[in-house]
Amino acid sequence: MRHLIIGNGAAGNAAAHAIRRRDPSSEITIVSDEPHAAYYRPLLPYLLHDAPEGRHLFRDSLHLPRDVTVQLGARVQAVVPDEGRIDLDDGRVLAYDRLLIATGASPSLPPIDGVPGPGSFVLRTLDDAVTLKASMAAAGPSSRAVIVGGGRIGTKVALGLRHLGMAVTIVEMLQWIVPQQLDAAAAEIFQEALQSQGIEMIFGRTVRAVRRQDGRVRGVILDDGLELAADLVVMATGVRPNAEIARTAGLATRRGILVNRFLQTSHPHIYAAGDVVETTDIVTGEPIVSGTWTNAVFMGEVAGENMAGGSREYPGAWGLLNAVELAGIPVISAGLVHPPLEGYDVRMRRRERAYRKLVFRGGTLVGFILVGEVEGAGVYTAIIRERVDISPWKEALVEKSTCAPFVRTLRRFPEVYAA
Amino acid sequence: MKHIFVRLDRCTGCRECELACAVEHSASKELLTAIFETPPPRKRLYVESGDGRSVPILCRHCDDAPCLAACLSGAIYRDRAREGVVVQRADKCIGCWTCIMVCPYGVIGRRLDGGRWVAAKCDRCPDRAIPACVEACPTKALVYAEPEEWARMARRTVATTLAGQEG
Repeated sequence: MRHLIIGNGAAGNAAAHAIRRRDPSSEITIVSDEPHAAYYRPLLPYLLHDAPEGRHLFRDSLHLPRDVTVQLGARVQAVVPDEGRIDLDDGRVLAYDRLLIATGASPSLPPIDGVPGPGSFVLRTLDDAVTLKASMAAAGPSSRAVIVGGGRIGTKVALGLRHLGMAVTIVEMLQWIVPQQLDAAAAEIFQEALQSQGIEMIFGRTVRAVRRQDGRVRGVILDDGLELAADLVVMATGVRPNAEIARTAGLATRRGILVNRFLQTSHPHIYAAGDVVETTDIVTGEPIVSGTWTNAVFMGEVAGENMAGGSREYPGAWGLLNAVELAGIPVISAGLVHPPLEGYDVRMRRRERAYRKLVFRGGTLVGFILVGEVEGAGVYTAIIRERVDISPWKEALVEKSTCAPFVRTLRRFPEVYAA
Repeated sequence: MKHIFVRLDRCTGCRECELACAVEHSASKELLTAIFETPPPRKRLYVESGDGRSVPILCRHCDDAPCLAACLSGAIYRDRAREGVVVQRADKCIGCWTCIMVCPYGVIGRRLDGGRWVAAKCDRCPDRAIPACVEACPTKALVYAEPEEWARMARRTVATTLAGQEG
């Protein structure tokens, strides 16, 4: 069996590992359009201010899948499903028995006059990070940066640039930072921390245009006409699946590549995993495109296992599944954290610099945010996924993620515990 | 590969296991000095009590360990030289807490290491033949055994109980 994987990111590597676990001898080839060895994309913001975390960027030998041929800097021009082959832009043709499309996503840019253009940047690939870093060095420490988008990437970039002494302003369209992962109460804790580090934040506004003079960025103009002085602009406004290759190959796509519960595309020999996929939300059942590393890893694992003959079902992607530490405060959130007003039971605990919110629908947990005290978060993640009825322990669970009576009922424990 | 199993009827909730774990992972490895260390040593297993009963919760060193899969920096890896236990290199941990987010047993914590917050995870005591928690348990509720041995023990217990009932 010849396995071919397009994409060298989280999903591609997880799939290769999973194929190897089941099949020690089949041929596996990974094709990547990037010139670099496999790296951990979430670590890119650390490169901007030479943070020590950036040292771990590249996968080491313990985490690279075994006996895999990797073709770097090779862009796929076409997938030809009926002939079981892909055509590379350098003229080479690769045949496969099973194909995984794990091409990820690319930055999605809202319509802004002057973007893209000199002085405006994105941060998706290692090359993006190198380019941005070089421009920051050229601009100098007293320059002013405007970050468009106050999500995970935007806030991390803001912190990195601020670390270097630049003046930083975040312009976020919604009403608080990291709006997908946090609610207003949790965001308040972070906003105070960001403010105390001198980061300015503007909410409820979008950027209309970037103003240049002599070819250099001078300012950004907001939708209300206000102009912010700026020397560089970083766009952190989300990503869009790289599904074009699947579209032109005639595979079913919508926003992303459509897959069944085994992560097969509309062609049985072609699978898809990671940021390129449109799947269903594990909590709500709604279609989602999920741009998170963790989702991509678990999708890759399932797709790889199935490519190698398994029949593992993917339970759905997490619309929200995020762990981060911002300004020294850890936060973990998952599932549905902005529930509709009707039909949900929301319970919160607020302490100084610590906050917990659990969202229940009937007797099952559907979402949570933990700020400050995050230990045990994975238990919540598991009971959301498994739809465990935890009605008798709701209040106890808001305080901490485990309590003995609840633990004893979890089905997965019997092989470990006797009596 | 040996695992740590639990005879729940023998657990009294004394938490000797938690203490032994912390001491084993201290600098001095001696109880009386460990309790004064900075940072304080961190246990990696958890005894939950309620309703008059207690349940020790331990890392399972899973075959398909989600913490290993999800780790964003490659800090968590499987040590093939030690039968495949899932361990963490603190120097590679970036404190992202993704492992905490995905561990279904909730057995990963946070600890200070050289001034940085990193993940705290069971390492099956690399410096011991038998994990500290197992050795410390006064009622032998924790059993360190191969899964087949454990299954035999469980069957024998059931058989003995049934035989006793039939008298």
